[in-house]
Amino acid sequence: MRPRIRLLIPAVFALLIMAVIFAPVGDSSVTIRQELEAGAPAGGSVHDDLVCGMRVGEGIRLESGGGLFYFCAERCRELFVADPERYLVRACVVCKSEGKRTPVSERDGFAASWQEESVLLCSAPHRAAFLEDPAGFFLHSMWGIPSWLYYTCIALVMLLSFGIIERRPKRRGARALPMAGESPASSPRFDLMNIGILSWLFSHRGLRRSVRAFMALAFVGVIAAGLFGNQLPGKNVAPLLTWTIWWCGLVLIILFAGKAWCTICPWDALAGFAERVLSFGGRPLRLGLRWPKLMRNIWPATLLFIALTWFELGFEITLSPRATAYMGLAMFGLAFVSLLIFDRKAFCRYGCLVGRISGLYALFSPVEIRARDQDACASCETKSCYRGNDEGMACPTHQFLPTMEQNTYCISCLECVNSCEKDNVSINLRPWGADLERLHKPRSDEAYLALTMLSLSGFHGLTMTKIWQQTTSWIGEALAIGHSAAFTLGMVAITLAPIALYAGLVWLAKVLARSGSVSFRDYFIRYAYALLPIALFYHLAHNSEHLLMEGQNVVALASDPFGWNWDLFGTASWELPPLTSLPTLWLVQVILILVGHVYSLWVARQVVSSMSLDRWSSIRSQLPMLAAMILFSILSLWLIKQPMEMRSSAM
Amino acid sequence: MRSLARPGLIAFLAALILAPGSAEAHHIMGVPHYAYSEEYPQTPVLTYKVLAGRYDLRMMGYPGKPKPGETCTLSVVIQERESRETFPGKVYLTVREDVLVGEDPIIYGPMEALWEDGVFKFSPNLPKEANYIVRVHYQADGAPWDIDLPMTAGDPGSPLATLGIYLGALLALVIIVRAIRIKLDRRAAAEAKE
Repeated sequence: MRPRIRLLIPAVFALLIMAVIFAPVGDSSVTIRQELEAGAPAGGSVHDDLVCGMRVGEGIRLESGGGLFYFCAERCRELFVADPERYLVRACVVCKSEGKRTPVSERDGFAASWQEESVLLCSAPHRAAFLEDPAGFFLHSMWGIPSWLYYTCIALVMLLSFGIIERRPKRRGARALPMAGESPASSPRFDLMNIGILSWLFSHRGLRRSVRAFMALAFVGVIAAGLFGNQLPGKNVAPLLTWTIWWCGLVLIILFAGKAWCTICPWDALAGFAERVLSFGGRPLRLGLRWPKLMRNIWPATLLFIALTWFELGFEITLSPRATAYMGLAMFGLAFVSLLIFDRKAFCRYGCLVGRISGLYALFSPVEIRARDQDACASCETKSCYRGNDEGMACPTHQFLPTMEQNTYCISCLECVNSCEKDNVSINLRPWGADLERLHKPRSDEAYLALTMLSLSGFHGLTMTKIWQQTTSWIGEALAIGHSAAFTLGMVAITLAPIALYAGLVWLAKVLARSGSVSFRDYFIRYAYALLPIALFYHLAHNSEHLLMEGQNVVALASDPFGWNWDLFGTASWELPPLTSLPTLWLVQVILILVGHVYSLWVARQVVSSMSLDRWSSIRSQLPMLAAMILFSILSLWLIKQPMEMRSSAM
Repeated sequence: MRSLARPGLIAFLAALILAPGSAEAHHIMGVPHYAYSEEYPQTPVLTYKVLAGRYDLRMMGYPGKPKPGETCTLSVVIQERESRETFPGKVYLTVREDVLVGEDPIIYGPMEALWEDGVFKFSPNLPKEANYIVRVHYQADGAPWDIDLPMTAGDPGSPLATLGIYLGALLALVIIVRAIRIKLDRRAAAEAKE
């Protein structure tokens, strides 16, 4: 592919996402844009799919027995047509969750309600079971991709894999690494600082501070809503904004704007603001200690990531506004305490799970901050980009711009843009995966985080399927332990399994390479980076389901963020259909997974090119990795094939 | 896990993990729901119905949500489902405080019920603002039955206390850091003079 064309790939993807959201699908579907233009009559075009329980637009419908019914997908319509009575007669929701169907009537049923929805139960114990966890019965199960699409994609994965392995590296042996700050010949760059208005925007500290202040205020608002607002998750903006919109939006930001989230991070902004306010008499408050040597790696962030996942999924924090707020407060607390005790922004550098996850993903991102001219840096005596001056702070994460070769630890604070006395900082657009094309300093802690991200993003998807519920029940019964213990054991097993499998395949790669020049450790660390695109694009594919199917609820919640029956913007009663239809979502998901797979294959080729291996050794050593990538991509496809327990009805 | 809203969260979750699953030999009906009669013009009444073996059990609490320290009345009616005859045996009540960390302390009972016209009556006092688990215990058909009912006194779910502790802890840290900083500055100034 011509180098310049690679610069356009992110833009093409951005257009695709916009097309998904705004383009009408089918002959009579209602898109979010049409809803907004029509003034969004409350509930005017939103209906319940009687088969799966999803809130849907008017895309797929059926006129039957004088009634008009709407469905999320053809599969639901077919099921309805086959046995309409099954879905028209009221049945006990607890029995339904157990796979049974017990018709109930107003006369002999046990009534219960939750979030203004009424249900009938067949018995008092089932009513009790319902009221113990009503949200669980309002989750709807959304169809995964159909089998034909699943098998087609597996075939495509195989074809792409073997197509790329056949395209052997053109040059054998190690390639000379580029000099610091030098762009590899195959990776074009476009300096955004050459555009006047953008240069002004990036170097305007006041503007940055204003955006950070806005984000900090929004964060305080979300925390207040979570703590003091209505504790029904569907009535409170905190869970939806945090777990559905932010968590998915974060990956989208990385994919198109690199580490921009860190630029506007509210935890850091609030911590910095609090520190300044509490610095009486202008004296700095912080102790400025060096971060402990033993912890100068990203293991703290990795452990925090595992802990957060355990809390989030094991204890249903996503459905608890208050617990969500406590998680936010905990992150702010960690940032603030670290700021008080340690030098610069040690928490961002070593401890912040969001910063480190986005840091690894940002190896893939299309934006970078780099020194423009190495000669200018060589003649610089002040090194103000690192040390800071009156114009800009010292680099908060100890990055030295002239030698900074990858995005991982840059938090895009843009202070170096201001502090550089030679106006030598460029903000480049670059192709996706540019940092992965040349791994400058592969590290074991980063490799383990990459593998953990791969494991946990898959685990995240798995926990929303029925299979996971059955698995935890089975573990609990087999070992006579409670749900939490069964969940924890299952999580440990599923987190470790892909890492163990990967280690086994790396060992095989080393054996097959028959070359003593590369150690097992080198293989293990370097190939782990090749799995990052699979993790990133699966993360996006999974979360796009939440964002596109549930994200629209934020329009109503923006008017009533605390669930106190406010109507700030007149949208509190709006009921909008999902942002896209289910078939379109499936298409987007499989495209994302295939793109991730292709990029992983490409990175693996770059990795093997950087090793001192002869032609056949490099091909043989790639084969186990090829198997790993095919396996992980098929696993990703299998996960999106499973019916997914969605949060929208509960949120 | 809706009640993560307290200090000691980590210890509690660790305890949850370490705790074995329920393996008691007798019947425990689990934590049931309860409902307030919202339309009732007076103090809310707690009502609960459950099928327990061949008996129907109905429990009513008045007031349904007592103030801390207020004595409430719990009435339990246990009837054989077919014949509607009142349960002939003894019924006991235990009230435990529902704490996040450690074993729930018993704050009332086990107390035998006062029997009045087919109703088993208890008068527990819920001493402080907290969540409680009220357990009705009886023997029927040769097996013990435990029915758990959650009750609340006051508004223990308020996050203000937690928020206060959180902000207090941060403030305490600021003061300590400030003190250390002043000491370090003074030492540096003294060394500079020397």
